[in-house]
Amino acid sequence: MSTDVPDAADRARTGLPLGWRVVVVVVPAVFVALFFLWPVGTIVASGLTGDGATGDALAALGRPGTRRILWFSTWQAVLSTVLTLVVGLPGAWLVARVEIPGRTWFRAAVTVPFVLPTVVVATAFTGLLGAGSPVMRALGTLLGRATPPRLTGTIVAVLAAHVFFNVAVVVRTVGARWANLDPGLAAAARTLGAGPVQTFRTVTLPLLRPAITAASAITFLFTFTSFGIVLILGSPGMATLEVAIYRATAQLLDLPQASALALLQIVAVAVALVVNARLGRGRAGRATGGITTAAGTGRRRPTTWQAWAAVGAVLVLTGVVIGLPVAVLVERSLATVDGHSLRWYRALAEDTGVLAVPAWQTVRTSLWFALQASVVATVVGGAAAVAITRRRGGWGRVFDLLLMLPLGVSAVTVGFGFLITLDTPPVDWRAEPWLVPLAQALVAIPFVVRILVPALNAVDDRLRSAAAVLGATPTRVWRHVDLPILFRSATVAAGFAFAISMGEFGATVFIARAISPTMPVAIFRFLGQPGATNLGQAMALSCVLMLVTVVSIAAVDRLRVADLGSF
Amino acid sequence: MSATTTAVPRLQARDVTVRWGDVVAVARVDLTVETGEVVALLGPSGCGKSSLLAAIAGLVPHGGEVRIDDVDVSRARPDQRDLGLMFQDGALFPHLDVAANVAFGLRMHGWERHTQDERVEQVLDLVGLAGLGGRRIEALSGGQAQRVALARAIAPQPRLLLLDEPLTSLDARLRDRLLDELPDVFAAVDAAVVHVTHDQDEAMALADRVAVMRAGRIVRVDAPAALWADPGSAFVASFLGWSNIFPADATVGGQGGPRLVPDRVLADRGDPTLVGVDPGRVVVRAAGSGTAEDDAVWPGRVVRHRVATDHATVDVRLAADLVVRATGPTHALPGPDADVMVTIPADAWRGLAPDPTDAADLD
Repeated sequence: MSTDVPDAADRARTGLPLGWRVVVVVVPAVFVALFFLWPVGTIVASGLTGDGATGDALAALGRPGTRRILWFSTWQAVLSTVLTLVVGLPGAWLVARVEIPGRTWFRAAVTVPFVLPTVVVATAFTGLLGAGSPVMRALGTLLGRATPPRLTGTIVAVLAAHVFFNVAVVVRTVGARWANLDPGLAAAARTLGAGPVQTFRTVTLPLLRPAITAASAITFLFTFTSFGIVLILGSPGMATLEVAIYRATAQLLDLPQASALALLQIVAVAVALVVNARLGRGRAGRATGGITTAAGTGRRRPTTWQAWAAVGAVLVLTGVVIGLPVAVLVERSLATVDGHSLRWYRALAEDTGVLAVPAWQTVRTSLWFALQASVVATVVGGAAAVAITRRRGGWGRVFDLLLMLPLGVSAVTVGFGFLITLDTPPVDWRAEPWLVPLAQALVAIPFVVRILVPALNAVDDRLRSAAAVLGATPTRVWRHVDLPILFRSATVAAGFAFAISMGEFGATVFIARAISPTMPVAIFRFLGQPGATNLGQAMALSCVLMLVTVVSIAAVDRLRVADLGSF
Repeated sequence: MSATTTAVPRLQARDVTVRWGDVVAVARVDLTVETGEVVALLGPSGCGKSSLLAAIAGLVPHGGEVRIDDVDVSRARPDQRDLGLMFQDGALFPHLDVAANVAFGLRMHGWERHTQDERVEQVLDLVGLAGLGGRRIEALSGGQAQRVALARAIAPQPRLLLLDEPLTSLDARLRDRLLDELPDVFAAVDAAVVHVTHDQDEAMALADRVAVMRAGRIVRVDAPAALWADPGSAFVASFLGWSNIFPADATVGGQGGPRLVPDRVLADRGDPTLVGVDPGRVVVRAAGSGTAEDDAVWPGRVVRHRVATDHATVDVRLAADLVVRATGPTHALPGPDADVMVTIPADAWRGLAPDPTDAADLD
């Protein structure tokens, strides 16, 4: 008898209409299959089979050079992660536990580097650590050297840029959890006889560990797959797998080697994701402990001089790490041999031998591409998010993972994949102007999904029930309840996708045509050429790109629903 | 109305079953509600009352049959059932203001714009929120939000009004005020009302009939006064607040002592295994006072004394393992540790059926 009764847990009556349920699965599935699985799958396949041009691709895996690249990718990522935690954790404490004027400004300022394009970050550190830097000149004077030291081309520059870029991940992820920890728990420990250090070690730290692990995993993944920063700031001998794939393809034309490296990268990232997911299971289990809904109840004004000193130290440390590179970038964009002027900005309008078009045109190109990419990413990512939240079972998880893959598999691999698959009729799309926005959309989709899935899950199911009971058909429930509530999150996702697309470099550098380079590609080309004019234009164009990115993110942040904390 | 018309119940639920995975939340429930009638579904948490409400609303798939005005709507979607549902904490649309929330159902039902506005004003007035149409949802107090939820549910003039724990999230004063006002609102709508609650006072105050649920089944349906006068089973009695439930052979003063319930009373009640008495019928006086002739009088001592706003409760120990509870006006009940005489009128005793097993079984 009981089997005759339908299971109420199987489906709610107020679900998405059948037609839409098909659309939200098919659109992202086809998109990801065509523009991600196929290109990347082709790389994997050719890596496994080898094409004989310069030897078997699998044999390339055994080369000492390959092992060296893998080892470098790993240790620099570990070191970058540790250093990022060292700089980021005090910032997280400040954001979560200290009430000082301008605290929210501090939080916003720390986030800025994370949204900057990697090319801009690399340019900023070229300015900061290069020979012409005012900071290096001051350091030279201090050390009594005739020529100022330069740190560009060293591992120090790479690590510093990685810390600059990822410190927001630690501050936001750990800070958010820290702010939500029930201050009563620490108070309880204190009443039970624990000192401040003991309380931190035995209560606060264990409760923060899930967030620290999550932030570490994300930072490791970002730095392991680092491309623009290592390519521009590192020496020719330094290569992450990403950089090595790029060099093997664009400079050495060694496709088997590139395929092998891409394959290696996919495996390494998959391993990192699996390890993270396993750690995440523990996180989920412990996440409920000690959380209150009253966020920030434990935030206090510093009262003792020691507390003020600690706050001052954190502000100075973070200010140097975050503020100095940006300040020097702006200064370098204005610095000429005759003092400071807008000369390099004016030069952007002139024809150069470096680009096929005046550099100003890249601004227009980037804006147009990013606009298209953000629309595609929001539509496809939005559909995927709906599909994921409507299928809570195993298939939903598989789909979720599939959509996250472009995040881990790296833009360079995607760009390389486009290059080797979309080149034969009927899909010879290499010259199509929409190919770049499409690749950028692919890179932005995981972020869109990550923003929209929690937003969709947060829509109270009873609101849908209420609307249905009031006479709304399933389609009208969607139109009148889900869509208006999601509008703000969708705008945030679109803005974020726009910013990502503006700064996208790894995939774009492969497929952007010479007559329509984007800003990051133009900056990279300028940096690759000698001469003060080219460097000056790189700095100036980087400042423009920084401005556009920060303005678009700030516009989104005004909506106060941006959740960058999950990255 | 012609004399030949037979009144069909507004709601007829027959054999309704709701299953969540392996758990049977509602097991073959029958329920009938007439137009204009208020029926309360009363029961402890997890007894299946909200699942039954969701099945009636069409929000969850169910077995059995739901008929509204004799039309089978068992396979109809919620939007096709013409009903109003008020959620526990409102479930108001956060992106719409008060008026737009109330007008939502009217829009969905295709009302003309100007009639929508009129109706919104009318129902806001009915729930005591006249002039608040333009207010944002975040700016409402808890009580106002519940009133908006009620206005939204009744605005489209549903044939069936369902209320899911509508007063649970409110503080006691607001709850009392709404308890006074709700009957007027119910009277103003031409609907059958099903009101889910776990609060016996709320059920008794609002309902024409109370359906007590336990483990997925309705164990008793009756008018509040009849239910209170004779709960019928130990479960219903204890859920309603009868703390005086004893084995029929309970004795006072240890084994071999006199029986608490006279044999003739038990014989009159059909020799039940359990008996109970309404604490309001237990009379407690200071020791030495006189009493009615026919009733047994037991000496005892007050072991607990609790004062509420409008009455007091005392627990009197009659024997080592026998405590009787009495309620009454605060001034009329003796204080803590007082030696007292307890009288239980013979006609106050009720026979109670023992608790059935908990598991809902479909076979």
